[in-house]
Amino acid sequence: MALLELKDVSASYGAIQALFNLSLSVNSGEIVCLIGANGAGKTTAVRTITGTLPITSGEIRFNGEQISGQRSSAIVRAGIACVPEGRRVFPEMTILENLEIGGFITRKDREKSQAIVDYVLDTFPVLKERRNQAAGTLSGGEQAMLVLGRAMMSQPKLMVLDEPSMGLAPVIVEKAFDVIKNINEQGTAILLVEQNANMALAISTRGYVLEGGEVKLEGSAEELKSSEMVRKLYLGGS
Amino acid sequence: MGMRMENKKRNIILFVVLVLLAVAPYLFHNNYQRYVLNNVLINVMLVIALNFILGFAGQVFLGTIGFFAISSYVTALVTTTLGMSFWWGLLASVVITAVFSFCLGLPTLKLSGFYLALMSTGFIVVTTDVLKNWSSLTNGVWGISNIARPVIFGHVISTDLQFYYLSFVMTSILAIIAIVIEDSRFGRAFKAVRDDQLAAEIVGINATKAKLLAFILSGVYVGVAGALYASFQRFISPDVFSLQQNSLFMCMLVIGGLGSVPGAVIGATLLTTLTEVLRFMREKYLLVYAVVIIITLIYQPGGLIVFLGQTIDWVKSKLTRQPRLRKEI
Repeated sequence: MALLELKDVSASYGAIQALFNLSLSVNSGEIVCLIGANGAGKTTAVRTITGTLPITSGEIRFNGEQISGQRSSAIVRAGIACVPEGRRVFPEMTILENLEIGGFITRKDREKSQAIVDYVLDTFPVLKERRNQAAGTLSGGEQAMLVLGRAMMSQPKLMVLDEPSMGLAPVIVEKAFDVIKNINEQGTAILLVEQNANMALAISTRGYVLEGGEVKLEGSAEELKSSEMVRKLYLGGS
Repeated sequence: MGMRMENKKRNIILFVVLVLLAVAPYLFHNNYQRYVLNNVLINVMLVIALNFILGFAGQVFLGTIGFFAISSYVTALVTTTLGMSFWWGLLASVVITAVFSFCLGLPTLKLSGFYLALMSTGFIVVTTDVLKNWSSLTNGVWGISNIARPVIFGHVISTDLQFYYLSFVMTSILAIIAIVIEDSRFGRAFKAVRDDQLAAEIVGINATKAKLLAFILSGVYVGVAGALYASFQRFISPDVFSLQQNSLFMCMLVIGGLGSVPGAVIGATLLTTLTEVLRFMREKYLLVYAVVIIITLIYQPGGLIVFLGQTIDWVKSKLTRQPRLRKEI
C-alpha cells in the first residue's frame, strides 16, 4: 500500500481549474519527483496535499487514512511535513524559534522536542552558530536549510518539498539536495516538486511530469531521463 | 513590527514601569491626579487586551471599546439590578465579555485587513446604540448609577488611593500573565499566524484556534478592566464608549509599541496622562496625537519601547567603554 495516494484529484482557484484528475502515489522510503514548468499545477498539487487548498473532487489518502478535507494541522500531525514554495521562514523569529515552531505538534514532549532540535542543529552547523539570530537575516541558502530543518522537527513520515532549489546558487542547490537525500536515508519518504528536472531526477526513484494540471508522463527516474519529451522540454537536450 | 527585544530586557523594562506605577500616587497626591491615575491603569489593561489581537495575532480588529462597554455594563447591572457584590460582577464581566469576544472572533476566520477593521467599527456603533435604546435594561442615555465598590474582607474600597492599588495589583498580574503567554507556545503560534498564516498552518498550527484564543484572552482582559472601571466610576452611560476614545487605544498601542506588553503599558500611561495635560485644547488634542503618531511611524515604527531599548543599549555601551578609555590615559 502506498504511503501517499492521490486519486483523481481536481482543484480550482475560483472559476479556474488548476488540477485535472491528478493521480500519483509515494511509497515508504521513496523519493518521488513531480516536475513541470511554471503554471503546470505543481504548487497546487502541494497545497491540496497539505490541506491549504480544498479539492473539488477525488481523494487523498495517507497511510490508508483519508486526509483530503482535513485541516492542515491534522495533516501535519498525521505525518506530512512541508517545505513551502519560497521557503517562508518566520523572519522576525530566531532560528531556534523557527525550529521550535516546526515542532509545534511534538511540543507536549519537551525532551523529545529538544532532542530533535539538537539533531537538526547538528545536521546544519551554520544554523547552530546563529541560532539566536533572526531568521530574516539569513541568506537564501541558509533559509533553505532552516526550512528543511523546520520540516524535520515534526518527524514526518513524508516530506513534501515545493521547489527547494528556487533562487539558490547551483552550489547551494547541490548541498540542499544532499541534505534531502540524507533525510530520505533516515527513513522519510519525499515528494520533491521541482522545475529543475535534471537535479530532481538525479536523486529520485520515480517521477511524474505535470503539464496544464494533468499528469503527462510517469515512470522511473531512468525512464523519464531518457524520454524524448522530458529531454526536450526540461533537460535542455536535443 | 520590526522589533525584537531580548526577554530579559523586556522583563526589566516592564518591572521598572510597574514600580513607577506603584509609587505614582505618592508623586501625584491631589484628588484629580489620583483620579487620572486610576484611569491610567484601566487603559493599560485595555491596551494590553488590544495587543493580544492586534499586536500578537495581527488581526485588525479594533472593537476594544465595544467590549469595554459590554463588560462595564455587566458589572453595573449585576451590582445594581441584581444587587450582587462587585466580585460577582467581575466574574460575570469576564465570562460574558470573553464569550462576546469569541463570537466576534469567528468572522475573522473569513475577514481580514480592511474588512475586519470596518466590521469592528460597526460593532462599536451597534453596541452603543443598543445601550442607548434598550432602556428597560440599561436605563438608556441616563446611564446606571450607584454601582457597587469592591469589598475585601469586610472592608469597602472607598478612596481613590485604595482603588488604585486594587487596580494596580490586577494590572500587574494581567501584564505578567501576558508576557508568560507571549513566551509560551500560544504566543509563538499567535506571532506565526501574524507573520505568515500559510507557513504557520504548514508547520501544524491551527490558525483558527490561535486567532480565537487571542480574541478570548482579549475579552478576559477587557472584562477585568470594564468591571473595575464601572466600580470605580460608580456611574456609567453610553456616551463614554465612543469611537474617538477607541481610536485613542490604538494610538496608545502604536506609540507604545505594537506587539509589546511593556510597550502597551508605556503607551497607555503616557497618552492617558497627555490627554489630561491637553484638556485645555478641547477636542483639538487629537491633532497632537496625530502628529505624535506620524512622527512615531516615520522615525520608530516599533514604538517607544524600541526607542527605549536602543537608549538602554546606548547607555550601556557608554558605561562600559569609558573605564577602558581611562585606563589608556
